[in-house]
Amino acid sequence: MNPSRLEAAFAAHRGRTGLIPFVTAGYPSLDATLEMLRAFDRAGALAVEVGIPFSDPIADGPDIQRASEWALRERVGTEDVLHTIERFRAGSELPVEVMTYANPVVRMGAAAFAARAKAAGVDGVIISDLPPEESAETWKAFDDAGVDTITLVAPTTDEDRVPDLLRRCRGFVYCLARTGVTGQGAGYSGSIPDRVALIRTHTALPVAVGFGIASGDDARKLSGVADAVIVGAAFIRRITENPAQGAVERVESFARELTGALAG
Amino acid sequence: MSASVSRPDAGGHFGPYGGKFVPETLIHALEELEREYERAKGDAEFQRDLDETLRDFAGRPTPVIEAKRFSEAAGCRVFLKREDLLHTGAHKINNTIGQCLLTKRMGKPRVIAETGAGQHGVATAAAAARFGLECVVYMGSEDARRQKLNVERMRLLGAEVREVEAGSRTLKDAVNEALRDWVTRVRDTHYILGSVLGPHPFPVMVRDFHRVIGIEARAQFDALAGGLPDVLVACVGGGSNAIGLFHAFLGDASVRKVGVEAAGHGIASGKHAARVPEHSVGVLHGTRTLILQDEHGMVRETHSVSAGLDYPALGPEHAWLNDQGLAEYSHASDDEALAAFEALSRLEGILPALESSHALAWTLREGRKLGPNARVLVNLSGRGDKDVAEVLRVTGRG
Repeated sequence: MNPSRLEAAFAAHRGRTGLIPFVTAGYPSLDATLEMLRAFDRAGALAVEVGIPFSDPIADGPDIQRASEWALRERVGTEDVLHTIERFRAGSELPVEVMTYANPVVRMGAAAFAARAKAAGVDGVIISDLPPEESAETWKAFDDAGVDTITLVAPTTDEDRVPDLLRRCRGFVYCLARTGVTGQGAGYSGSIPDRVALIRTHTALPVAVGFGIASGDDARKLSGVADAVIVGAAFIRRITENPAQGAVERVESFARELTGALAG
Repeated sequence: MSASVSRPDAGGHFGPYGGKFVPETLIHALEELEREYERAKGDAEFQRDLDETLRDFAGRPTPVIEAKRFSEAAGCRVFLKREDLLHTGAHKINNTIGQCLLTKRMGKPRVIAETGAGQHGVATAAAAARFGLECVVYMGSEDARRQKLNVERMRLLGAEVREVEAGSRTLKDAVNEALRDWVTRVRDTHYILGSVLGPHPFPVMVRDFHRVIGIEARAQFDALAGGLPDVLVACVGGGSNAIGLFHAFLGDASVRKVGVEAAGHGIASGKHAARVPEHSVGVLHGTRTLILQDEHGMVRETHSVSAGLDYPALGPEHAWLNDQGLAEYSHASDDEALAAFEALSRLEGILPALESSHALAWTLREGRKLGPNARVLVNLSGRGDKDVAEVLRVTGRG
């Protein structure tokens, strides 16, 4: 079997810490999202993460909440997001993960969601509020469709639980840098290198670190620690500066700053 | 024991409902809470502290009375379980005392809560003050406007009230914000969830703290009228007062259990908070249950004149009781609830909460069909002092 796009991308970045930028689909428009994905590809990202807007994003701070509210006012639905990824996929092999909450998946039906995502060229899925012990049929549906299920390890996760999380993990492990919601410095962190090392004792999967990484300096500190850093709310803030003008350019420039910091 | 009729599995599932749908960061805290609660249940000292505080601080037991003049209006015999007489004005304090005691056991110095009508917020603030805990209450800004008196009560009780401007600015958004606080400060904070909602173990734990309602009512009704009531009626937002009343009677098939949801401007208008008629399964705020949502799985805005019922998810155990036919669910509109509010006030000298007025409204509507000998026990879950300004406003007198 051919390696998945995620496996191939991490293999190509071996020895370097890659960048995984996040944007909320439909903020400020689906066309802009498509252009941003292309910009991330040009800027040398390892993969991209696309947020499906949800009405009640309990794991997100104000930046991504407002981006979701904007997209929902523009009536961006799950199918629209997948269609945008399909358009991107027609011209790029950059891996794409979607980040969502359980309810949009439950509503569409896990099997239908997984199959549609696969057909659109989605490589992985992160479901913020779905722990491995819930909804066995959902996890199986993604396995059956061949979409990687990326699980999260939190600073509060007990060590004896880590193997259970990793058993359900495909593609790469998402190590949360801190407690709390996206885009905020508050919360408990602990030693990130220690957490990454702990995860590596249990898995050969690549480890990406995210939550609260907002600058080139933040990213540089994780260079050589993680296989990738995930940056979300800081990109959203670049869009929010002026959603109507120059958003794609600012996002691309910030992505280059981050890849530069990680390379330096 | 009758409670065994409805017992979840080890993961907190009632059939297809319930469970623990939360970000990984919260899993540890939920497991800690579950362990601590299991230990506390078997701890005589905890039970003694709980019983004493419920008696001396909250004012339990609350009486059951026959509402004779209201009965004439309803066309059946109506009895009231007087949870409105409790300290802070509603049943909510049963749960907040229990959870504050648990917080002390877990060694956490800070509690947070969401509130809709403000009753749970006030009950949390009062219990937190009593036990010396720092307290932050999240409240939608629309609810804070509707329930200004309760906002000031919480502040006087030493709580910080944070108004939430997101979404519909009501209870759902307050829960979102409380969860965000908890996921950030989970190590020193306990989230006192206010209804039989949210991730396991909350639906079970909150139910257990309210079971005292039904246990008392069963014995009191027997002493007052002999035997069992024919019908139990309670309003259902998340459903904590209803489950508290129903649970002691779940083994009694002869006793009808009716939960009354908020029909707002009417089911057909779309402006309501009745989850059972659409029977749409979804995941919200940590639990799988019946919710109001659109075709994309986005949670819909709800409407009710009563802030405490203005919420898109039904407690998962209620969803299960409904599917099993162990309880039935109906609804009452804003107008019906307002008429019942006025009726109880004038006929019995009791201002009922607008939430509880939905249960009274069902009784006024259905009483004649039940007949003059039918004995209906209504859970008067809260008092209506907090609602006076809103009632005057919506009836054009304010």
